[in-house]
Formats: sequence, structure tokens, C-alpha cells
Amino acid sequence: MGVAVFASLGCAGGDGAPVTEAPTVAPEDLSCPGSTLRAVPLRRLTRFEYQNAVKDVFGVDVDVKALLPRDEVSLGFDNQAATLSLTDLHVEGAMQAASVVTAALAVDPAPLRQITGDCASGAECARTLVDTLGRQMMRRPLLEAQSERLLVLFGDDFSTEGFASGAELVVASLLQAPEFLYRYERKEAADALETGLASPWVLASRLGFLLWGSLPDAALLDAAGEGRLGTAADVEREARRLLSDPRSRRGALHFYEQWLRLSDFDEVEKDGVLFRIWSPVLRADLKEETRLFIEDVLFEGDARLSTLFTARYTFANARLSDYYGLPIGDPDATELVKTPFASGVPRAGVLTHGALLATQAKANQTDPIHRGKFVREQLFCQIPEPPPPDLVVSPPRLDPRKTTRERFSQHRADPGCAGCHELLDPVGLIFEHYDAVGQYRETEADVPVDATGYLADTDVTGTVDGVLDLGRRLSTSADVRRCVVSQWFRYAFSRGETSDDACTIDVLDQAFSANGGDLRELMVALTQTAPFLSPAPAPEPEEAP
Amino acid sequence: MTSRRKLLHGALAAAIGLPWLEAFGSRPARAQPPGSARFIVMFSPNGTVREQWLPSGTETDFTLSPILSPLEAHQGDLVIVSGVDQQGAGGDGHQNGIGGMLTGGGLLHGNFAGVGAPPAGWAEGPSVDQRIAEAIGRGTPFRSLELGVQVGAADNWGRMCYRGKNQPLAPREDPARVFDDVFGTQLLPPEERDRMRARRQSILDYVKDDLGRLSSEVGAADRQRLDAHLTYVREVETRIAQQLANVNACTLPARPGPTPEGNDAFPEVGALQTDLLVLALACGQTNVASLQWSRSVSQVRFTWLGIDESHHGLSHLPDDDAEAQDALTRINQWYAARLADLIQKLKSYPEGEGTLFDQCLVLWCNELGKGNTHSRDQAPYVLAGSAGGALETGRFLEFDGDVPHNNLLVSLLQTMGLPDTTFGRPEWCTGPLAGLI
Repeated sequence: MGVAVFASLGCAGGDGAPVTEAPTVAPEDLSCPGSTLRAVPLRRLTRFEYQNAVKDVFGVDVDVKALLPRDEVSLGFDNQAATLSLTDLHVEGAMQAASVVTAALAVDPAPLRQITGDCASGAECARTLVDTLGRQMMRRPLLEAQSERLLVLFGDDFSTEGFASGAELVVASLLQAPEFLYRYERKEAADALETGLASPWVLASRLGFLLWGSLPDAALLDAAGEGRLGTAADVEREARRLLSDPRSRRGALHFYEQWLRLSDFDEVEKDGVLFRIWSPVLRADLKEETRLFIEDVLFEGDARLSTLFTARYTFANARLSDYYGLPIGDPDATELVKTPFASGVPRAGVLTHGALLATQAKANQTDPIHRGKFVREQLFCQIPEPPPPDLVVSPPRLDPRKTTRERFSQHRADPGCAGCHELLDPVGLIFEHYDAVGQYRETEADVPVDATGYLADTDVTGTVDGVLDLGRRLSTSADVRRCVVSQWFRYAFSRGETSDDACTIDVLDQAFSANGGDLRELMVALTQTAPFLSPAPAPEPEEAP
Repeated sequence: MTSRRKLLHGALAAAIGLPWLEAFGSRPARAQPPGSARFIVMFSPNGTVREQWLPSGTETDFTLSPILSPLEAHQGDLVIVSGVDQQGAGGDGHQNGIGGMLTGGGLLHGNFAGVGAPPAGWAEGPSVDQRIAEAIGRGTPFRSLELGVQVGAADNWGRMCYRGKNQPLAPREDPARVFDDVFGTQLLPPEERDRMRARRQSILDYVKDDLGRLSSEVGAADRQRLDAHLTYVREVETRIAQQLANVNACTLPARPGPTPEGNDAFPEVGALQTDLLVLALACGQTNVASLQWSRSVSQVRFTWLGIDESHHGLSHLPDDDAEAQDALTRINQWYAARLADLIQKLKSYPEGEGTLFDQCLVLWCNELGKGNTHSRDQAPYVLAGSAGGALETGRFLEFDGDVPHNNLLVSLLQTMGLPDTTFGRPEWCTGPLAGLI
């Protein structure tokens, strides 16, 4: 599964060759006819998907973090098929999550009644429950054998108590069934050979997971069952419907929080003595701020990539206004509201959000290396080359008498470090106005902060002064735009892109560029590509264990 | 009693979040019959300070080093192994260090991209604890029990135990949850246990059938995944049966409260996990256990030792930075004290003529030898316990380098009574470690 994912930075002998080649297909054709598709291993649901699925079907909030082990993260995403593992912890966790759901349903069975609807007899109600719930959770009608098996499990006691007990067993079984836990795409006899598209059930499922991080809803499954999900145009229509539903906010945020590394923010540690402002409530507000901002850009605003990097507003309450040095209106206001920046406020877009800045910093100091690495890896999709083996790698120590820039310039004077760090540190130093908790500072070690830096080896190469300047530059970069496409590709298809995907990346990039970097349209465009629309290719054999 | 029964009634008959169990209070556990050897791994990260770690003296007459001094009370129970080179391949030094430490193998290709190396995946083979579990873990509810302390992200910097190639085992990190999973069913009233057992069995039967059916539909690679899933379902099934059959074999302490969070809770969480690990061994819940303190590249700040910089940051500072070397010495010393704590707790459970500890073999290991070079050479290994008399203890074994650690892994297997003569990559293994057994 060695996948050539990254363009590497050519600092220590890397060939620096990009993975993909020049565009070859017109942007209006996203399907790349004739391109080779890669199979991914059978992939289980992530915690995020499991939680959403249970919420959407049963209206029950399951604390998956307490019940299921962490999802393995690679390429920055929690849904990479080759990386996700399954062990007895998942088996136990699914069992216990099922108990949580059935316990909630025992208290309030309304969601189950809604599923059975009007049914005349106990036996009929049981059948309806099995088939309706089964279709929803398996994302396709149950096989007859599956239905029969579940009805046997249900039993034939249709007294009130017996029905409740049977329903509990069916719900718990479905919640642990492999076709619920895995994103299995069954080969259908009806796999539309004429159109070359995947079966409507598979398309419905892919739409649900990509845009909502969850199961398809009943309307989508109805469309699949009634022959209204058989063309790319049908898929686009349903994609737009899903994007107009609030659940798409949840789905999109899950991508952005991972792409921008904000999923690490919850566990970031700060030195409480150096940074007295740091507190659990501030952390919660900062996290909420970024969520609200991204949602606003995507679903209320112009959805432009450039807006993410340059917007002159955020969401703040009294605490955040204090943190950001914005005018405080009502000192008791806890709710975050849209707050424009007056001219002179040194903030613009998500790169100046406290959550992002604090994540890309150490407990007691800023972190130019990792801030530079963040820009390279996440925004330009470049990966720095390794330090030579056995080099004593010693980042500069904290020294209150020196500025960060001074300390890191000594470190870059070391010829063993300079090659790569010339590409990292001068980018990270652009963020120097923002301290380890993301607060603005005019001075460090009694010297005015110098936030100039240099962005080399990109299509927007040049001297940069501060993050606002950097944001403007990123907004115009074709490299960044293409990187966003690649990141979405990885998230959407649960794998890294390979040279086989060059055409798909190219056409997405062209479409994304043609519509001015519209991130909502990019989500729609993803549903029109070959890997989305085509039947899953036959899996590649794995080496025997 | 009434309210408890009411709460447990019906659908809630699962051992999840049972805070009222705290009412059971603290009583010492009763150890299981003698004769079964146990294997334990304790991991601490980021390399050591060799000069402060290395004991002085001869094999049987030696003085513990500053780092190992907290183990003085147990010196006669130790075997210090110096001069063995830890093997590893793929990924960066921390990655292949923790991945190869117990597997004696390299990392597969994959997508975990760190600073400084081509992306790598999971390990290419099983870890030594799992090989041992295969041999001695079958009769217990848990074939093995992996516990961790603030392990963090689920990636190959944070995984040391592998069931097999590409099959990482995630450690359990929440003490309260560990308590429930390992001991929860014992505390249910008998009628609830019976009901739960019957219902879970029906559901698991369904899941097994469905997995089997699906397995017949998919290609070979996916079938391997589903078959592994089925194996885990069967293990959980056996676990439930064994747990319910062994009710009252052991008396239990109070259930831990909510797990404290944050850097400064590291020692507290670790102490709870140590208690639970020892209890699980003493109560016959498992014969093979591991305790993973943090992860490779651990960023823990040892504020309780007055050290504010992160462990990993300190581990990268140069050898001539006296302040950093002192901090690193104290950090490793602190981990040695955790091993002493583990040993002490194992000794507190009587078993047969002696204690639980007498039946144990403990390995303390590290993914690196030296932090600032990422060198895996001369990695610090400490063994404790004789596994029921199989290993002669109270020794300091010094090798001259160039001895692959796979040899140590083979010797561990042999100490545990396994017939194996090689482990991990064959080219990294030249047989058992000379003179150990």
C-alpha cells in the first residue's frame, strides 16, 4: 500500500517531483473516462460516523469517546481505510454502545414507533421494524436471509413485554452487524452496466458518508429504490439536497477540523503560570469560534477558500473579545456572535484564530518549526525531508533574554539543519506576533516582534510580513488550491491519491479554480468524479499475514 | 438494593458506567492458585541517559546506577541487560523503535508521515507478548490486557503490541472503563448476569453468522479482516462466559472515579492502571499484560519533578547540556520508581508458597537508547521476576554491543516455557541471549 502521496520538499536529496501531471481533461468532464481506480480495504465506520448514524436513526447521543477506542489517524484523517484497525475493544465497545441505545429506547421508544408506523399485528410490526430499520442501517434492503434471521431473533412473543424484548435484540444486533459497522459495497446484479455507475444503494451510502458523515436518510434510500439515483445528474441533485440540510455542516466541519489540525486542539497543553488567561472555558470558546466561523463561510457566506484565509470578522463573546483585544460590548455575553474587525485589528481568517495558533505552538513558547511544517504539509501538501540519521537534533532552548527569531537563527546556522529548516522556520516565523496561546504581542524579550519571513519553493514565493500578508498570498496560490483538492480527495475516498488519480485531481482542481475556489461546489464536484460514481474495483490482494 | 436492581433492569444490563459499584468498598483481592507464569511489559519513552543508567560491578556483585536506584529494594529480583542493540526499520527512529521493540521486526509501508522519514505503517509481525499470550493466555478471560497511560493519538508512534502483521492493539486508557470491562460482570446480581449472558449470546450468534455470510462474499484481503473480526467476537464471547463462570473468584477494590485529565494527572492515572493491571493478573483475568506509559515522542511535562519542558524536547538537547541531562536522569529515575511500584504491588498478593511476583517475568523497555540521536543501540532493558523460577535473578549482564535485541526476545519466550528459537526478522536474530537463561 505504499502510496506516493506527497510532493516532497527538495531540501535533502528529494526528487521533488510532483505526483500528478499536467491537466489533460476539460473541466466540465469530471468523470475521467478510462482512468484506473484503486480499491480500498473494507473499512469500518469511524467513531464520528458511528455516533452520527446512531443519532440520525435513533435520536440517541452515544458517547463514543468513552466507548470506542480512538480511530487511527493517517494523512491527517481518521477515515483512512488501510489504517483503521479493529480489535476486541471495538467488539466490546459496539456491544456496550448497543446497550446504551437500547436502554435509551426502553425509556423512550418513540423512535422505534416512528419506524414501525401503523402496523396491524405484532408479527407485522416486527417484520416492519426489521425491514425498515434494517434498510436504514445497512443502507440497502436486507437480504431475505438476513430478515429471516432477525425475525427468529425477535421471537414470537408479541405481548408488550415480548415485543420490547424482541425489538431490543434486533436493535442491538443491527448495531453490531458487520454491514452496519463496515462500509461494505455489495456488488449488485443491477450494477448499472449501461451507465457504468455503482448501484444506487452504494451511491446513496457514499453521499451520506461524504456529506453528512452518516447514513443516507430515508429520502435518499427511497430515491435509490425508486430508480431516481441512476445518473450522475441524480447524484448531483441529491448532493445539493444533502448540502442544504444542517447535517452537512457537521460533515464538512469534520473535514476542516482535521485538515486544519484543530482536532488536536482539545489535548493541547499550556503552561498555566506563563499564560494565566488560559482556561478550559477559553479553550471551549476558541474551539466554538472556529467552528462557527467555518460554518459561516461555508454555509452563510461565499464559501470561498480565500475567505477562510482573509475574512475580517470572527465570532466572539465577552471572553474572546477580551482575549483578542476587541471592544467588549456586554461583559456578561457568553454567546458567540459574528463580530467584524475594525481596521487595525491584527487578525484575518482562520490562520489567526486562537485555536489554530495555540495548537501549532508549545506549552511555553511558540513553535516556528511546527508552524512552518503546518503550512508546508497541510496547505501546500509538501513533506519536509528527514534530518540525516544520527544528527543530534536539538531545537533551541527557551531563553527569556532572546527572541524566538534569534534562538532559531542560531539553530539554522548549523549546516546540518539549515537545508530543511530554511524552508520551515522562515515560514513559521511569520506567525511570531502570536504567542503560544495565540494572543497578539508587539514585543518579545523587550524587542519589537519581527514577523517577516520567506516562502520558498511555492508558486507564491517571496518575502512575507505577518500572517495577514501570508493569508492574502495563500488566497492566490494555485498550489494551495490544488492541495485543498488533494486533502478533500483523501478524506472523501479514505485513501491517499496516487498517480492513477492524476486526472481526477486535475479536473477537480480545474473545476475548483473555475468557480473561484468555491468550497461548497468542490464538495458537489467530488460526487461527480470517477472514484465516487464508479463501482468499487476488485480489491487488490494483500500480502498474507 | 431495590434501586440498584431497578437501574440494572432490562436493557441496561451492561457493565457500563456503574458508579454505584463504589459502594462495594475496598477489600484485598484473593489470588488464584499457584503455578501459572505471567508476563508483563512496561514501556517508558524517549531513550535514557546511559551513563546514569549503567550499573557498575560484576554479574552478581553490582551497584545500581542513579537511574535504577529506586529499584534497590528489589535488586535481587532484577536482571539488568546492557549493550543490546534494538533493531527496527521503516519510518523514523521513534516509530520503528516502538514498532520493533517488541516485534523484532520492521514497519510496513504506510501513511504515517512524521518529521524526518518516508511514511510508514504498522509493524510487520506479532509482538513478543502476543506470542506468549498465544501460548499461555487461552484459559483466561483476557488473552492479554493492554493498558496505557495518556497514550494519545492512535498511530504507529503509540503502538507497541501487535496481534500480528498489520494488527496493532490499542491500549485501554481509562481506568474506570478497565475496571468495568474486567470486573464489571462480577458485580451484577445473579439474575442480571444470567439474562445478560443469554441475550449477549443470542446477539453474538447473530453477529458471527452474519460475519461468516459476509466473509463468503468478499475477496481474500477483506476476508482476512472479517475473519480477524470473527476471531475477536469469539474471544469476547469466551470472555463473557469465563467472567460469568468465575464470579466471586476475587474480591475487588472500589471502582476508580472519572479519569483525571491533563498533563499533571499522568502519575495518578498511571498508578490506577498499575493497580488494575496487578489486580487483573492476581484475579486470573489474564496472564499477559502491558503498561505503556505515554508514547514514543512523549511530550509529558514532569511538572511534579519541577521539570517544565517536555520530555521529548529535553531528550533532543545535546549531551553537554548538564541541566537537560539532569532532568532526563530524574525522569528515567521516576519511571524506575514506577517499575518498583509495580513490583511491590505484585509482591503484595500471596500466591502459593510465595507471591504473585514470583510467577511473573517483567520487561521494562524503551523505544530508543538515546534521545538526541534517535539511536536504538544499547537500549536499556531491565527484567524483573523469575517466571516461577525459570530465570536466575539478581544479575547484571553486560554485552559488548552488536547483539540484536531479537535475541533477548527469544530468551523471554524460552523463559516463559516456549520452544521458540527465533523471533522477528530472522536476519536480526542469532538465537537466545547468551548467558541469560
